[in-house]
Amino acid sequence: MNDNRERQQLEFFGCILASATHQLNNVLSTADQVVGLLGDMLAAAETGHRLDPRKIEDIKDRLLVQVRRGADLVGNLNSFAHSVDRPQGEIDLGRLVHQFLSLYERLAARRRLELNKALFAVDVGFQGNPLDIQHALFLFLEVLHPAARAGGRATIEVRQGGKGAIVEARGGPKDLAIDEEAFTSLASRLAAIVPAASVTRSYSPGGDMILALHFGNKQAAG
Amino acid sequence: MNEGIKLLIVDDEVEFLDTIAERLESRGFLVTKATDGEIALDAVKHDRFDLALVDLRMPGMDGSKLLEILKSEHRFLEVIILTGHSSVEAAVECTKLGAFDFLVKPYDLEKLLEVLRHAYEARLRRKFEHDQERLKKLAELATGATPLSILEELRKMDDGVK
Repeated sequence: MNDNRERQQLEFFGCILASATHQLNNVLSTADQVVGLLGDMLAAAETGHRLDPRKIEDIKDRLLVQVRRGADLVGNLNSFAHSVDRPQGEIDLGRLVHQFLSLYERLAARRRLELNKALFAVDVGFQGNPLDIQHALFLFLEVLHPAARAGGRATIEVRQGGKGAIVEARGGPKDLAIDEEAFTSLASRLAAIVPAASVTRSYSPGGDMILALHFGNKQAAG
Repeated sequence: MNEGIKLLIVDDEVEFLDTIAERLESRGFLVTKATDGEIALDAVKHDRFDLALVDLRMPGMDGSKLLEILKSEHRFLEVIILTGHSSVEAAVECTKLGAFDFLVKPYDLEKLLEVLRHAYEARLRRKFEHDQERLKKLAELATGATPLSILEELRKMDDGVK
């Protein structure tokens, strides 16, 4: 691995860690305030106010939401950290993309880009390096920007394609904008950092832009 | 002692926003919630706030940009920045740009209440000083100026006052 690739991988790792720990801090801050709210209610009860069981139930549910959110984040972050353990092997791409998007959520939100993960195909498996795939995904997601000022929505789909697998981002004219320079830069960065991946851009008859990231079956970029 | 203090809270973390708003409302603050900078700017167009609690890292317009606009258009509004551990340096920069103070999440509510109290006192003090200055100017002008020039001078003094 040359110095440049190593440095870019470290930057990628740093970005994902920063995004995930920011989300985790939000979870802890929210849980802290919910616990504080419970403390407020108990303090009020000590001065004679009646404790409302429905409010207690509501607080329990709110805490549970944060605990689950935190547990998911930690689980995904742990899997991400262990990506380096296994350089090559059978990969469930749908699962890997889903896990990666949960860590990437904050970075997407900062660009006002909503990633719809509902369209995952299941059981899309192929041989690959999980760290390289996530690095390619990161570069791919970084070029997605909403065309409309108020925010855009991209659907992400994972499917089998030829001998490999494809991650596809699709959005309408108001949802996604990728200029020529960004697209060309993505293609060349992918070629340099993750040679097993390539990218294509096309348009559906309805005018949706389709940006596709191909793994294991090289496509001509265009 | 917080009764009637109008507070704008801006944070994209909805559950956090709802909970802190609920806790501050129970302590007498009149809270308005905004989940991003644009909603916050819309709120200040329609209402006058004493204090604003602004998350630094938000989608779209970030907290430092919002601070800049709020401080340029609302001279006496005191803004407190909320931040995570990774953005403390940026939060310190915000205090140089006019933020009253910053707090690192998660923070203790008592600490927040103390900062809000100090910020409100600072707002009252600055507003009082402005009003004093205004009265002094009015007295000076009343001796020889025309009513139109008095109005013009007062308008200049009140620029950015909301």
